[in-house]
This record gives sequence, C-alpha cells and structure tokens, in this order.
Amino acid sequence: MIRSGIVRENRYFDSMFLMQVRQRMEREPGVHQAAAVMGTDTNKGLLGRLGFTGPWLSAAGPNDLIVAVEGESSEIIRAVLDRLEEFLTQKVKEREERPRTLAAGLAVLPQANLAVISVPGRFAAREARTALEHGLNVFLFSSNVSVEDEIALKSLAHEQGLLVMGPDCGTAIIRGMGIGFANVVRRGSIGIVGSSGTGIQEVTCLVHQSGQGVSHAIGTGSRDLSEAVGGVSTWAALGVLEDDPDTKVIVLVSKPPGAKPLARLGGRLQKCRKPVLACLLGTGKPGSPWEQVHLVSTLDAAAARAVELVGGRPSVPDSPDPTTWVASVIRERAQMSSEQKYVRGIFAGGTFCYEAQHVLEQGGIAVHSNAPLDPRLALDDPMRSVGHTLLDLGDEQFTEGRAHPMMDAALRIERLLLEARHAEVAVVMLDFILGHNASPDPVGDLLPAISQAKRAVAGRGGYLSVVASVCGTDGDPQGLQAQVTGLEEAGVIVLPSNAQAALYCRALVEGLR
Amino acid sequence: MSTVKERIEQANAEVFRRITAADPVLVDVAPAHEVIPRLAGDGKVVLHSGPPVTWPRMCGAQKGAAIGMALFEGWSKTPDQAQALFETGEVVLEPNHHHGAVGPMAGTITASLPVFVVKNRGYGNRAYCRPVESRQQFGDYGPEALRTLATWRDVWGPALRNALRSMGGVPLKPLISRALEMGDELHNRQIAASSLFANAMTIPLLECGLPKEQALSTLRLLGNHPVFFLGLAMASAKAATDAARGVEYSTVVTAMARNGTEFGIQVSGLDGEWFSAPAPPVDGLMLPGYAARDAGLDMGDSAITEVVGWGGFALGGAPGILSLVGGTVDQALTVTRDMREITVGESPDYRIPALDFRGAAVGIDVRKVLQKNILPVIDTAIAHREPGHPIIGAGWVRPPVACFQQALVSFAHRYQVER
Amino acid sequence: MSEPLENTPVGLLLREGPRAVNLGLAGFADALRAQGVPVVSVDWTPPLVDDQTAAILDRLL
Repeated sequence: MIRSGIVRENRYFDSMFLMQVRQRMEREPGVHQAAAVMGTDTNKGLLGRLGFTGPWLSAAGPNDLIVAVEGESSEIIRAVLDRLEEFLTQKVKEREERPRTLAAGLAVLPQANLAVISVPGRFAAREARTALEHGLNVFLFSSNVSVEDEIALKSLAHEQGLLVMGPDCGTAIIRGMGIGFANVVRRGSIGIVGSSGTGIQEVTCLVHQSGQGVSHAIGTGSRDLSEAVGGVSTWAALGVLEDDPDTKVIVLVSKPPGAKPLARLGGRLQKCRKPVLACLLGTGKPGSPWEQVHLVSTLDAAAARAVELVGGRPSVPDSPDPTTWVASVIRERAQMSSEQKYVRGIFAGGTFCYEAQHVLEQGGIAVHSNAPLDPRLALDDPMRSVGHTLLDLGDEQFTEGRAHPMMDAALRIERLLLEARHAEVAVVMLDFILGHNASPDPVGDLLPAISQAKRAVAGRGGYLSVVASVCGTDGDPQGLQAQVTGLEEAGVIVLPSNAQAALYCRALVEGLR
Repeated sequence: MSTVKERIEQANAEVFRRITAADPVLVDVAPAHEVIPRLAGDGKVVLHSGPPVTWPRMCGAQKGAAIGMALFEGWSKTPDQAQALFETGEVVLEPNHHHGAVGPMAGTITASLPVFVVKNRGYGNRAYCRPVESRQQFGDYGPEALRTLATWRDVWGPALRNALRSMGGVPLKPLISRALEMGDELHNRQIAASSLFANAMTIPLLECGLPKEQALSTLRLLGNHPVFFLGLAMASAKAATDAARGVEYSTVVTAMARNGTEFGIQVSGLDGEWFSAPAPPVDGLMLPGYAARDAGLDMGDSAITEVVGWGGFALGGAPGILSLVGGTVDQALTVTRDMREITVGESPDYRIPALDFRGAAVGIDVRKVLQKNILPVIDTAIAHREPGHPIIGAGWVRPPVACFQQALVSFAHRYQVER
Repeated sequence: MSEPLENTPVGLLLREGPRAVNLGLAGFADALRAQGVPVVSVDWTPPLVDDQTAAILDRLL
C-alpha cells in the first residue's frame, strides 16, 4: 500500500466541503482512502494515525490545504493528486442556466445543425455570421437586414457548404419538421425551393391535400434571386435537392426576378437532373421558354403539376372551370345594390396579395395596392382604398409597432370594418393561414368582424360578398376543415386556393361593371 | 479564430491567472508618506478616489473630505481657508489609483494618514488602502470626523503596526475565503471578515508591548467596527489587480473607480488610460433622516472588490444584505450568476456555498459586457451630495455603458484592429 | 455544382433533420419542440453597441 500527499499553501476550504472532495477522490479506482483537510495540529495528528507521515505533512500550517491519498500504486496516487482542481470543482450541479449567446446555446446542444434567428434586423446579421462561423445552417426570419450583409452572409455560407434561408424567410420544412410559419404536411417526394414563405405554405398544403408529400421545403429569403444577391441560396437549395434521394420533383416558387437573374435561373433549371417546375408568380401565360422546365404562374397550378409529375391526382385542378361557379356568382350578385362594384382584398400573406392581383389583372381589371404589381397603381394613402384594391397588411407600413396579421387579427378587423362602410364595395377577399406559429384560430378571430361587416352592408340595403381561401391542412393544430366550416356557416364563399378565390372575385366583379 | 482573438484570449487568461494567484498579506499599517512616494515631499497633495478630477468639477462630498484632510494635516485653520487652498491650486489632487492606493468613498489620503500595507506574495507588489470610517470619507469635516482621523494617526495605526510587526503580518486569503463562506460579500458586508480579523489581532495586540489603554482602544475599534475589513479587502483587491495591469491585448478590467462626478474604468491591455462617463445615481436604501434627493452620485474606489469577484459578484452568497437588490435570494443569485457571463473564469479559491461552492466570477471582460448586455453589479454606500455629512445610505449601481464602449474603441486604435 | 452535396453541412441538415439553436421569438422554439425537434432557446438580449462598436466587437469576440 502506498501513501502520499501534497500541501497547497494558503488555500482555505470549509471542512464540510472538503469531506465532499474526499468522497470524490475515493470514488477513483485504485484509491483506498483519501483525505482533504486544513493543516491544523489536530488534523495532522489524525493523518499521522492513518499512516500518513513525512516532512511534506509536518510543514503544513492551519491555513494550508492538505490532500493525502492511499492507493495501490504511486501512479494512481499521482494521477489523483494531479487532478486536485478537478475534484475541488467537480459536479457542482446547479439548476440549469439559460444560455445567453449562440455559442453558449451550442454548448448545451453541441450537435445542433441549424440556427433559427428572429432577433431585430439590425442585430440579425451579426448573429447569423456567428452561427455560420460555428458551422450552423441559418434560418433567418428577421427582415431589415441590408443587402450588403445578405451578400456577405451568403458568400460565407457558400464557402462552407452551409445554407442561409433568409433574411426575411418565413417558412421551411426540413425532413418533415416545420420551421417558422409552416403547415403540417406528410413527407413525400416533392422538394420545394422558394423565396416566398406563404407561397411555400400554399404549395405544400395543396400537395398534402392531393395525397402527396414534401421531401423538403427550403426558403431562400425574399431577395435571394435579385441581381445583387444572385440566387446563392436558391442555387444551394437546388443543388442539395438534386442530390437528395427523397426528392423526385423540384418546385421553385418565386416572384419573377429581373431579366438577368431570370436568364441565369433558366440556365440553371435546364441543367437540373430532376424534373423542375418553376412557379414564377405573375408571369403572363403558361408555357416555358426553357426546355424541360415546366412554367406556371399560380401556386395552385404549381402544386397540381407537381402532384401530376409524381403520379398523383391534384385536389385543385391546374386550371379551374369558372362555369361551375355561375349559380353561386349569380346568387351573390343578386342581393347587391347598384353602387356595389369593387373588390377589396385584405391579406395577411403578401404573396397571396401579389398572386390575387395577378389573377385579377389577367382578367383586365386594374388593381390598386400598397404593394402593387404595377407601380403606377400604388395607393397614395394606404389607409384609403381606391377602386379595386388589394392590401398586404403584413407590409411594414401597417405592421410598424403592431403584431403581424398572421398572428394577430386586429389590423385586419379594423380594415374590414372600414371597407364595409363604403357603399361601392361589393366583395371582400380574405386569406387565412394555418400552421405552426400562426394564430390558434385565424378564422374565429375574424368571424365577428365578418358578420358585423355583412350586417352593416345589409343594413343599408346591400349585400357584402366575402370570399376566402384557407391555407392549411387537416394536420395543422387549427384543423383545416373546422376553419373552412366556420367560414361557410358565416356565409363566406370558401375556395380551395387563393388563386381560385381571386378568380371567383374576378367573376363576381366582372358582371358588376 | 483570427490571431487577434487568440491573443486576446491568451492575454485574458494571463490576467485571470494573475488575479487569482494573488496572495495578499497585511504586513504593516504605515503613515502614507512612508510608503507612497508622491506623499513623501513637502508639497500639499491629496489623493482621492476615482478617475482624475479638478476642484471645480469635484462633487460635494469629495470636496468636504478634501477640506477635512487639509484641516487634518494642519494646512489651514478653517474650512474656508482650506477651500481657498484648493481653489488656488496650492493643493494638488491626484487619483489613489495612480499610486498603488485605493480609498473608500471620497477615498482621500494625505501624508500623515495611516494606510494598510498589503503585500501580494504571489507577485511581490504592494498596495495601500486608507482605513474605513463613517464620517470624513463621506465628506464630513466636523470635529468628530477629524478626531477619528487623529486617533488613527496617533493610537490605532501605531498599535496595529506594532502588533503586525510582532507577528510577521496576517495572511488575508484564508480570512477572505472563510468570510465569503460566512455570508460576507466583502464590499457592503464585512461582519465575518472583521470578526475574524479582530480574532487574529487580539493576542498580538495584547502581547506586543503596547500601553494597556492603547491596546484596549484598538481592540474596541476592531471589536465594534463591522466594516473594518473593507480597507483590507480593498487593499487585497488592489494588490491583485495591479499585478494584472499592462498585459498586452487583454480586454479585462483592472479598475472600476468613481469620484462622485465620473465613473472610470481601466483595462489591462490599455494601461494608464481611464474610460470615464458621468457617475450614475445609486439605487439604494436611505438611513433615517435622509431621502433619495439628498444622495450624491456614485463614489469610491471600493468597486475594486467587484473587479476581483467580490461585492456584487458574490452577492448571492450574502443573504444578510439581500434587501439591497430587491430582497429575495433568487434575485441576488440571478445577479451573481449573470456576472459569470461577463467574466473570464471562476476563482479556484474563493467559493460561495449558496452557489454550490462554485467560485466567484473573476475578470470582467469588456467585450462580454457589451455583447451580452450585462453590466457589472456594484454594491456601494451612499454619500450626501453636499459637503459635511456622514454616510446616508447604501445600495447598488451599474457602471455607465459608455466606459466600456470607449475602452473598446480605444482598444481597436491601440492594437490597430481594422474595421 | 457537380460535386455531391450529401456530405456538406447543408446535405447533413436534410439527411438528419434539424437540431436547432433558437435566437429571438420563443414561439419558434416552442413549435419546433412540439414537433420533437431538439432545440435550445437562447435568452437573447441586444448587445450594447452602436455601428462603430459593433464592427469592432465582431473582430474581437
């Protein structure tokens, strides 16, 4: 049996604490007994009786720490004594501390592969850069990130084989897991790349409703395909979906980029090794200038074609037959007064507002907006609608200091009641977005205001038609069917997609001119 | 990791090592002129707390304290005459921190005032702190305030000196370790440490050959002075942080000090510079007869204790003074845990039972303060805004952000960190 | 573009599914947790910096 020890001068510890230290040392294999005590005469006497002796021990004073170990070999003893500081600090379990920085968070979850960032825009780029430097992919929900920062982040990501989804990215679904505003959809073989969050939501929901599923849906950020940013994230997403064994068909969803990025995009899509469907919202007629690339201009068409490409049957047809609506349209119109002429759209989803404008304009109807397709039709005052007006209430002009309409209905309620006061309004068009992080009951939030608006118009001898679509699935926490039923019971005409709702509105107002 | 980041990490580790390796021993209580060269000449010099300040900008309490020192040294007969000495610039004002010294509150030190002499056996340097009392250091220059200083000079200082010499000094590290385990945080609460120190000095004071009255008077002081140890804690902290000054590339704070007009910090890698901003008001509790409107702004060198991980950094272990931070153990523990976020590491020797014996957080990193939006917490006493009053309250305070931002900018210039 | 991306960090993200560090809206972390995604929430606070000091801090920390 070997005994040895050390003295640490001038290090005082409480005796109860040192008893704990002793216990820790004695748990080490090969250690028979250990002692950690202050060097008082009493303690030194005690150690002497335990068989510890030597000049190292006798020199210790009452303010010095003595650590003594008895073990099988001098190597074991040395190893234990060398680890003294560890025993002094070991296993101090405290209640879990919340990490304050990304790096600290990573220490808690070292296997993390994604940073989800929604801090205010002026700080978002710093956090995203830190995430990339730590080897994390980034989902960057924050908006108000400068183009310069976006370019720098994306080139840093590109160098490292990482992906930046965003800035201003609302939705992604990775391996069935929804990130940000996303719906509960089954897994399948359709991969989606998109610069628009609600665009991705609509396509994934319609794919799900058609019995098909989504491999991954990757958001890229609203500016990714701009000339300045150059589609870095779109390229990365296309590449990774091309290599992904689960993905059979790729759908790209975007507003149409400028001429140069569009040409580059066409070149890239033509080289794709998998069937590609490009949904460039608001681009004139269907039909593709690019070989092997299917081109559509609405989200429901994109979902329908993608479902067909994987051998399924779309729940919403590629191009609907408006004649089936004739009876309903006539019924709606019959109750209106002669002044009622215009459609007013009050949207939570910016992409839905954009798509609806496109559908109406395809019918030759000029539409005003705070986010217009045609800059000449921009509203002078977003608080005052003119003629046919479709509003994106998620736009910063409205959300400044207020909650986004996807989470809080207050903005839309105010606007709906305001529109109902105007005698020339015939139709109000609405979108409802379900899924993770959306309001727990988007329809229920708005129903009282819908009924109030309808009553107000009826009160002056007219009839307010309300037309809506619900973007969601039966798997969503809010439940698609319950939401649709709630609307229908309130006399709202519910269409299976936003584009169809817009088409229905078009049919309604066309007959009113 | 870029080179500059690595160098900073290495430098900060070195600063942490030096601060935690400090081994303070009280070796003497000496008239200041014997140990601080600046006070050895014939000129009239008053050392004070905080960053440099001129007479016109000096706050009321510190002016009162300075007037008290002029009267104490016999430079003038009346407060008016004393004031004139300062107004004409005949008395030179310099910070304690420029002379290896610290002082609580107004912190004034002059040639004949006794100071504690603490030797850092880990590094070989010495640091000084003036004794703590409850009147003159708060700006009171009345007869009773001056009588306390005279007693220190004539009775207590020499008695402690004799006793210390007879016993060869008092190692302070073990006292501090015990006191932190007994519920002191060593800035606003010193009861355990003061008692332990009184214990340590009793026999030597009685055996070192002093006249009985002098020994008893000194023992009465030690036995009835709950914050006596603050002077020793401050000198110990100063000795530790001075050893950590001037480490190139370090972003760790080596001093936080206030003069009632400005709050200043110093940084190891930027030695000699002060980063100052207007002193903040103290969030505190007032003694009977005083109200918040009477309070002067934050003052004193005592925040040196926070720099080494005591005071607000150990508040979670001092349940007796929880009322200072809202009254609940949870709040105090939260404050103390937060301090770990902005420091280099935890002390291997100074441990806090309430935090499961984890070490005090040591080495305030300017970068982390700004990144994490957590400012250091400082426990402190409150002085009156006008000259002539004793202590009026106690509370807690955080430094101005600007000090840390200035330090960061200066660091970028000094080490040519390109934008 | 031609090299396989399966083993890049983004390829692994798709293959293994997300494991996330969340900074900002707590609801995002809650929704991920509800789906069974491993997630840690960072108690984020805005740093005490302006444009100048932010740029310096990025170089130093």
